[in-house]
Amino acid sequence: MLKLTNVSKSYAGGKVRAVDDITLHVKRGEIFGFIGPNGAGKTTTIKMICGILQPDSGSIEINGFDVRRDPIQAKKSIGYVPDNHEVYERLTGLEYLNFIGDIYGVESSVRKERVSKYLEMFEIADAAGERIKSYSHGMKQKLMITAALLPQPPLWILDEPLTGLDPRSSMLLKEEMRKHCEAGFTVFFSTHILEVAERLCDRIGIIQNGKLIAVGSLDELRGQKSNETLEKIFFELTESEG
Amino acid sequence: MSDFMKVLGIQLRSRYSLKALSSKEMMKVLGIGFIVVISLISMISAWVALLYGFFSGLASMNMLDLGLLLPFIAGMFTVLIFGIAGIMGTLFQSKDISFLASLPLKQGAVFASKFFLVYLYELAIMLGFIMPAIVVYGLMTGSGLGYYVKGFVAALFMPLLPLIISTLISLLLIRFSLFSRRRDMIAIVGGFILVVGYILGQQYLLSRVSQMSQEELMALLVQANSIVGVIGRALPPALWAVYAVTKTGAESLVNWAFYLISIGAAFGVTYFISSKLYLSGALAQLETAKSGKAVKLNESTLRSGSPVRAMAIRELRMIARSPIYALNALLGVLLFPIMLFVFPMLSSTDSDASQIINFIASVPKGMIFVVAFAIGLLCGTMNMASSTVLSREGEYFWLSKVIPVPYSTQVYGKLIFCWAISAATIFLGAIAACILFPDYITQFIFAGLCSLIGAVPLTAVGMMIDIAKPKLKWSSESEAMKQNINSLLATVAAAAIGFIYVISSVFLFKSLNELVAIALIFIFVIVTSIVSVLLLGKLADHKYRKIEP
Repeated sequence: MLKLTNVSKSYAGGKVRAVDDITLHVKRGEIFGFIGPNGAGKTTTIKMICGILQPDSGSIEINGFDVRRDPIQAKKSIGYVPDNHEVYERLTGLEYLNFIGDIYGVESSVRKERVSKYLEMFEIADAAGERIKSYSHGMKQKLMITAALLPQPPLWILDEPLTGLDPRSSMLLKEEMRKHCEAGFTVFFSTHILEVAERLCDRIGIIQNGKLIAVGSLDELRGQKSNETLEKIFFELTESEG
Repeated sequence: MSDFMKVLGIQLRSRYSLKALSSKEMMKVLGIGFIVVISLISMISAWVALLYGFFSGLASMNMLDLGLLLPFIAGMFTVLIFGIAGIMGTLFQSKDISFLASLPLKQGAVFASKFFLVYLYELAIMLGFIMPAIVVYGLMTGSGLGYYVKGFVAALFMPLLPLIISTLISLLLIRFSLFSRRRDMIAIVGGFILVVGYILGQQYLLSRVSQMSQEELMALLVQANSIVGVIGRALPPALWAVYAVTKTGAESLVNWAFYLISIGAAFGVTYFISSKLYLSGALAQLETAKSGKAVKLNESTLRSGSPVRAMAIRELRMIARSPIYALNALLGVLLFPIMLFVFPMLSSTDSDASQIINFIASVPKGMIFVVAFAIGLLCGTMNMASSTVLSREGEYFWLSKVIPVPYSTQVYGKLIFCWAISAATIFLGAIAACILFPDYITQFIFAGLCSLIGAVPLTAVGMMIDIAKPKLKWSSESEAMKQNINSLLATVAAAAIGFIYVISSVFLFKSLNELVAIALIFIFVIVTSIVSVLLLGKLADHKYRKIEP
């Protein structure tokens, strides 16, 4: 579903290597957790997958489509929730969702069903007619998630999706992620909450200083030490690499 | 360091500091700076040429002071009207207001530093407008160095008073808007009313001169520069500034005193009010009151449409709901037809209107087409929506890169909206012209059609300039639109294309019969429009990919 091959990205004219030769294959039907310390390169990697940033080298393939050669088909395959919540504040929530519906070609009847479902699920249906400017941080996050889920794309890419969500919404989103994968689709998300990654993910990738230092299921990451928590594994790996 | 200097310093550094730029970026900045300088030189040269002709005419009537007064009045009125968008954007709708409010700073210092920031921007524009008039006057009167120094000082102070008045009006609008849920709407409507009021006021002033009888006018003209006093009464500080510069001795000193004391007193009052009320009003602008009405989710509220339509509608909503964008981008749509209608109505009905009709009757019909075509194209050159089309997206630009719509398709949606602004102005202007001058309806219809099509490349070139180098980092909408150098570059580029159209039209009308000339102009604008749309799409596909927010 998602294939990164030798992907690199530098800033400041090559002086800062944000992502360093990452190769990764996320399979169909799995929840993949992408974890790493602040500034490790998680958001840069995600932005390259979504087409916001261009890799300096390497290739990215989504659902069989190369992001560089076939960007529209690749983008049609993803629903993206960024970590910054920057969204057209002068539009109402419903106008924004309609905009996304038009862009992704979601039919009116399907749109009604999905918009109603997610707005009610996240308890923001009453605010749908209000300007986004009046939304709280959490409400904006819920709206962005609703917008990403609206076209039902095969790959969800979520950058810190649980930040700002209340416990109930957080639980509902996790359930939705699981259901999405059970339907044969894929979720790729970054998080700082290691407990969530530990409980939710089928496989986990750990990135540090732009390099992918470990990939695998929790058991694979544990290796011989079957009782270790992800937190402990994370600190052992990042400290030894750092 | 005072609070004022601290806040001003950080704002100037965040906007204009070149320290963080790499050598490659610095080269780009220098390249753009070079283009800007060339554009400014060409605009100022045209302005100087116009001023020379104007001053020469006035010199023969012994009315040179009028030549200096009118730019001062026009400049002050322009700052007053368009400064309101700058004041609103920078003082009241800037993203850093909540951050600054959390710091242990006096609100008077925050206000003053933000006010000074707007002043610096307006000053940069106004110096380019006023200084040529001061220099031309000096050259024609053979004035010495002292005159130029006085002229420069008067120009430095010139934008202050209108900006202070804009601030007071903004404070009033902001206070008034606190009582309403629709704060943005009040600011937009208030701003529109102010501008229309300005036009009516200015026209009333001019009509007072034109309503004088021939004898009264001659008596006034015989006395050197006495007409200056009549016009200057509408805006005394402009008159004080002019007399402070052009007179000598005690008379100059008295006018300096009036000029500077009026500015100082007005600023003192505004500072006093702002030090009490500024932050509460500004912070309230960051809040959006909820309507409390739940929206129904049904087929009509969730109607589907094409991506191009979605892009165009989103542009419309984003502009129409922002006071800064609406005042800068949509004002012209209303302004131009109002000017066309109001001028003849407020003028002494028989003299002015008949003069215009006599003038039109004396011009060959073909040239009526050219003049109308030129005016129509002018509407297209002043479209700030197109020249800031990408810059306005700012931090939202990530969405344009993520959505599965080709970049060219996205810009075509934007093109439709931006062109529609110019088209609305041209359309309303053409209707006004047809009603006022029914004998020339055919010419106005053809000129209107050609202008509508000609507005496509003018809009496209503005968009291309912004797409080539968008200003995506800004802290207030005013920075994205009003303080965006792309607007200046786009105006110059669009004016150049418009000039080519008009010159070609004149040439065709002189060489061929009217119908053939119009047909060829029609083909010319259609071909250039198609080419410009294709180029715009190509540029979008190429540049969007490279822009990394």
